[in-house]
Amino acid sequence: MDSMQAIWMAIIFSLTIIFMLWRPNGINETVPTTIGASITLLAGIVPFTDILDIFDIVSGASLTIISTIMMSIVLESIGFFRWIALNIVSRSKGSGLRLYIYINLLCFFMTMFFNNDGSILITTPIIIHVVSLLKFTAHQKFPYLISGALIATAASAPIAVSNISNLIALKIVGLSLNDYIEMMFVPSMIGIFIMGLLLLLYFRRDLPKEILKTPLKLDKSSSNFSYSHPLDQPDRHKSIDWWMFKVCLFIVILTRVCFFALSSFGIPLEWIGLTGAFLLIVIRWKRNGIGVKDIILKTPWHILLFAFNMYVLVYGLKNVGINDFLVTNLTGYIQDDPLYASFIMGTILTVFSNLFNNLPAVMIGTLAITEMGLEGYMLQIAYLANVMGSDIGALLTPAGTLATLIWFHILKTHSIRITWGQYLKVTFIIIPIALFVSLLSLYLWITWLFV
Amino acid sequence: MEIFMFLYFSLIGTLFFHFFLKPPYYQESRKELFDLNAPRRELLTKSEAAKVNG
Repeated sequence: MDSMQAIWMAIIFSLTIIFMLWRPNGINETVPTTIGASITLLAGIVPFTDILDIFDIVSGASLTIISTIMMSIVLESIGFFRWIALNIVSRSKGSGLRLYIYINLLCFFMTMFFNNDGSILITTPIIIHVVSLLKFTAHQKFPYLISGALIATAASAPIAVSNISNLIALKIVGLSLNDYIEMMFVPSMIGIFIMGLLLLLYFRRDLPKEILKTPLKLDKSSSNFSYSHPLDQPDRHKSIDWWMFKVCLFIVILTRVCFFALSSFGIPLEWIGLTGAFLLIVIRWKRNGIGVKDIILKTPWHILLFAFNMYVLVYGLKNVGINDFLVTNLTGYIQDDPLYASFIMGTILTVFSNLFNNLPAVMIGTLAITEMGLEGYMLQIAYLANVMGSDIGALLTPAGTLATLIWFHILKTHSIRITWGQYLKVTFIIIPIALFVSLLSLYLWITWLFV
Repeated sequence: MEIFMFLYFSLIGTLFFHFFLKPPYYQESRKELFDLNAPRRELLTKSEAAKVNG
């Protein structure tokens, strides 16, 4: 590849990322990436013969994420999340601190059960609903909203199935899901715990001490329970189907467990995820007579194309030799010392993620480390440090993850104004410490496991 | 590792059900029906109850 091609590829990639983050006129992020990937393919930087390989790498991860989104659509349609929103207000018993803890736990659980982008899509409207009904001021709303978003996004690190970029990187490195958990679960949970603690310390004075006490009123006389809530719209008396709630939660958890239990037998993750989603759809159809129309319309099918386009672009960068720069300059530092491997790759991925989003960043980082000739646990620690940087370090700026950009978009549509400055003021204190603790924990944990 | 993840998701599933799904009505409704702390003298005697119940 000549230097002219390298310059063209850098321009195509930069313009694609700028338009993806900017999204003029609210265009879907898939549009600029499709244009960028098409030009890359037509220019011959990525040969058409590689298309099937690229599709193979991204399709499984994309379908797994799509299946979790389908599940959340089913749950949303039966009032699952609305019920949770009202329930946590009642359970807070008038304490702003208790509400804060409940909201952060909810965001963590949602990412554990679904994925980071889905969690943001589910929890942000819930939090907005809750803080608006409780008549919080803009100053009081901010801690609940930003803490929820940061915890929801960071919570995708412990288990690879909660984040599309982790899944794609997993496939590139050839690591099994259970090996990932063994090495990543403990250090990333420590990082998330520290992040939660720091956020609580940061916002402790901004949290309202007392909030409205609002018990739920339940009418158990009907066959399905119905409820009303003093803060809810007075004309809306909702019925809740306990059987559906319990069965749906059971299937969601069973699907998560099956990801780990069945993938050891070589069953692809996407099959497991799609089976779980199919079960939920069938149960809802049998119970409530609701078909698949809403699932088809609301599922973001373009994720598959988006991930494919992004990988074509990154593959293009690799083909013109941009990865060689990383490989040549970094291999010497990280091939011998796991501490260096952890901190250098974690920091580089943090910088890359915040410059051009974590999905391409983790792809570039993962492709680079596979070419460094690292062996054994050095490869794994470098890869997992990549994931730390792209899941936790990427939260430093709103451009770091698509989940944060989605979060800003949802806030805007609900007329809640939070500036990038407000966001950065929090993250520039919290994220570097959380990332440092996570990378140090990763180094200590993996050294303890392997040495 | 599979067993660990089974236990982990069982635990967080149970916690999620308890803290986010289960409404706080169990205790309240029980209190309304049977107030165990109510003084003994406020309860009806057997003969009074028989009259009320016909």
